Amino acid sequence: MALFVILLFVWGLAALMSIVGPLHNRGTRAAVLVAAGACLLFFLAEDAFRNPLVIALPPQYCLVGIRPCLKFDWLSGWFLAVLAFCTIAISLYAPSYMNHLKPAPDMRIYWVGFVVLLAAMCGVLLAADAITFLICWEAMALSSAMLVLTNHQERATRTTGLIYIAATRISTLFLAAAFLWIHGITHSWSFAVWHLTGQIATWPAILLVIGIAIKAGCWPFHLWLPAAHPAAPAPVSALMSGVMVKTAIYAFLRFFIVQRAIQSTDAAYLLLTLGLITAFWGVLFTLLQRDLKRLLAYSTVENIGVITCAIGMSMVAFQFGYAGIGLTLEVAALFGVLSHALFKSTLFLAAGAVDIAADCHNIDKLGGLGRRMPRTFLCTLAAAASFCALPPMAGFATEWMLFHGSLLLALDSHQPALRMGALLLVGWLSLVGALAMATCIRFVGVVFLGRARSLACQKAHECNRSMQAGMALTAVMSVVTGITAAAIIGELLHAINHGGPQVLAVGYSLPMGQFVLLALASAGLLTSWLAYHDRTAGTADVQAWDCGSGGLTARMQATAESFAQPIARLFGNIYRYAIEVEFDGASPRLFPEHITVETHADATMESRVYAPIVRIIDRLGGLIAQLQTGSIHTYLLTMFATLLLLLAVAGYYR
Amino acid sequence: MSTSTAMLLAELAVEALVLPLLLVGILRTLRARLQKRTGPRILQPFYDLARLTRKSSSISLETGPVFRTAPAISLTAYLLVALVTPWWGLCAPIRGDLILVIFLLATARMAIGLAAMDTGTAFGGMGASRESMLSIFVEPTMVLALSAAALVSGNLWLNGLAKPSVIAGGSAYVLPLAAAALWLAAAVETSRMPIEDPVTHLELTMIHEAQLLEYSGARLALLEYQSALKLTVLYGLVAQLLLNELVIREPFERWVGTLGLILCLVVAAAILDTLLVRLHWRKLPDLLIFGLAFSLVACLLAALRG
Repeated sequence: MALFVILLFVWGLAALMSIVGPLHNRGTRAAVLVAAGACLLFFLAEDAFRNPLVIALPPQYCLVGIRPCLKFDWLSGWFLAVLAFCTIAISLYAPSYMNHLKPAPDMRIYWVGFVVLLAAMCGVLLAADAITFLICWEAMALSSAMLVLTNHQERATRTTGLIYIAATRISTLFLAAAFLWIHGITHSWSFAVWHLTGQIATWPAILLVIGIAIKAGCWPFHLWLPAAHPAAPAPVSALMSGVMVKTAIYAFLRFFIVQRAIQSTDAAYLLLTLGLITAFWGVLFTLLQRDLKRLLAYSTVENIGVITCAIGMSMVAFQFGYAGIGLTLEVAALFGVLSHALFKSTLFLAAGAVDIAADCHNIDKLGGLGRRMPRTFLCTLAAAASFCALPPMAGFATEWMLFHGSLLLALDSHQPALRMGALLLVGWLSLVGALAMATCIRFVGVVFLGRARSLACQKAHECNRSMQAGMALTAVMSVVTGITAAAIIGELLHAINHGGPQVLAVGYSLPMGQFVLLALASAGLLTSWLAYHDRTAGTADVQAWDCGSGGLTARMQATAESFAQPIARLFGNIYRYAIEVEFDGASPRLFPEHITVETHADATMESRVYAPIVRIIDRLGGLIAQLQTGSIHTYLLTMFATLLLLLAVAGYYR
Repeated sequence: MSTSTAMLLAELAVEALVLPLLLVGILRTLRARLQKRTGPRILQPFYDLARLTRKSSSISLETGPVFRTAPAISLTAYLLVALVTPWWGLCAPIRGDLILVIFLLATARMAIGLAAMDTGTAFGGMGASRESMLSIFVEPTMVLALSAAALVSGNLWLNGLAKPSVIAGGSAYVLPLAAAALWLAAAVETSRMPIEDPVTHLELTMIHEAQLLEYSGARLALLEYQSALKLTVLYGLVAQLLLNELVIREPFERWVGTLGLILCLVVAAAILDTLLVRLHWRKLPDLLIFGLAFSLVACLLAALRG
């Protein structure tokens, strides 16, 4: 507890540092303090992971008649550790990045918002009662909205800020409704007391799922993610995508699995369905994005979908009485949180570095940055490998636990429907995995490999050391956590089973050490043989094969658009994908002088579902606006009518 | 390490080094004979490999380290696949499961795909993009087919496929369907007709080969060997499913049976290469969906059996 107070004090000091003191290096000083606080947070998390503890705040901090409670346990500890890692990396990266930003942002707003967001996330992860949880949830939403609006001079940013704030409002609405409903049943705000099962749990559970799913960015509520991320500065995107959306995953785990606060089969199936659609939808739209950060935001939607699937499947397994398999899938979700936080922060930070170096985030105008920014490229490659779940990265451990758990369910269960469901889940996720791979080759290949597509790309140079350090930290961690996954998962299982009933779960039982050694030996031997061969037999520098057309140019290589085309055609109905080709010239068919190709794709949810809803709300808003004429008589009449209405309602329900 | 393990490893090494190239030789010769050509010698792939390793590489000026190291990475992935799958009829020396195999194949695909993007040519990008499209069908097909087989053998580890003791005979069509699905996926992975013409010289029609267009010399040698190894391992896996359907339990019989079945599949490939024409790549989904359907039905039957 003392550590927690010191931590808040250090972060408060960081916020203060960004406001007062000499103007230059304000950001650096704040960043150093934030990172120091994050180191403390890591120790706090480690302590919480091993020694669970519940603390009620002193009575003078009473809120609406209840004493706020903080609970330090393994689940909070796990998420706090993830938060701490990402925060250290991001605060290493942030000061130099923010200095490069044009127009120069207000550093005071940025750092104060950053610190409030960090503290609020800690609060959400530690809250043991609904009121504290909701207050921290709100603080988190508002401070992150402030950070998204860092570049508020631009109109587009303000629009996305509005979308984001609206999404957080709706999320809070659903959450508050769920909490009130549960409070009505249990007469308590404390999570520890909540144990709802059976029919009565269904509706609160569904409300809760929706409220949290909006924050997580699950389909069909994913809208705010691809809107907010491109607008926010890279460190903010990294923090939001890496950790903040994970607080929603935390909430799912806390309410539905760890605390067993609400047990509802409907909620499990709802979560599973949402997860399956989210994963597919997210990856499908990742494939078509041209804006680097928007692409990454959609891929976050996909990853959240996969993690939600793991949680949903875990709930199903628990409900059918397969506790061991449920635990395996739960661990898959937890490890997924870690691996996604690490690789997605790396990718967002790398996207920021690319944005600064080439002054562009349209991937069709980038290219060949791998040779100009080798370290950024290496970090991106590691993160992309983890994203595609390539062994031995952290992403692979997640995917392995998830697939293995589902297959075990298919093997052990005796209900054909459950067996088939588990197999279908595996098939579906491998489809998603194949698509994710395509998006990764597209994004890494187009941005970092091949020829430079613009002058700015040719002149790009590596970002500075502190930014590299930030990226490298998370990238290296995704490799390290992947190789040591068996030990980490073992620790996690130990902590989960500590002090409770012992549930036997399958750990990460691949002999990963052997594989890594063999792979290193083989790849090392082969590459050194190739290098030796190149030296002894010599190499000839040639031009790439151009069919004798007289030299290739950067415009002849595959673009992001053309790379996505074969797959986009397959799913054309979902995208409403259309290609228009126009030939121009004297004899357009035989000797075209100009060829114009235009592709159209459409985010179906936005145009078909949300746009009409927004129009309806707009129209209703117009009706309400008619009341606001500025006439005091109308206002008084409205107030009086409202009072009468409320009295009537109260009288009716008495 | 006991002597029997050492023997086993030595045998595996010989089989993994010699058999793939031999099979490719047989395939090429047979196809040539079926087309009434004399064709190369059966041992020609060995000579080709030796010739390629002697040659110096031509490397495009525009490429970077990704292009240079990708063959080593992808071959490593395939060697690991060969070490964890019981493709030769006996238990693999290292315990692995279908998830690991699928993601190792994905690793190889990513390495080659990125190398193709690194060349900065139209063909490279085209190949990588088409290969990614095919993988959308291949990956779920392989996962589902191997899952169905795992369910039948009652063991999630791949060695369960080669452990005859746990095989319940009469799998109600699960294994033949899974084998058919896996065979179709293998046809895509190994660029056979009608998916791709393995001897085409027209870059515009290439899929997998378009990614390898820029490779020469030692790197090409690695890739050639890798594609031969891929063919052998995947056919070996298909053979395991069929052997389990036939309830062949004796290790020696399995070993012989596997070799025989792999040879049968190679002959079948040669005949199909002769009989079929290449499909337009946009038509391929219509064919590959059959593989997916087979594996789904196999899964359904396997799920109903329990």
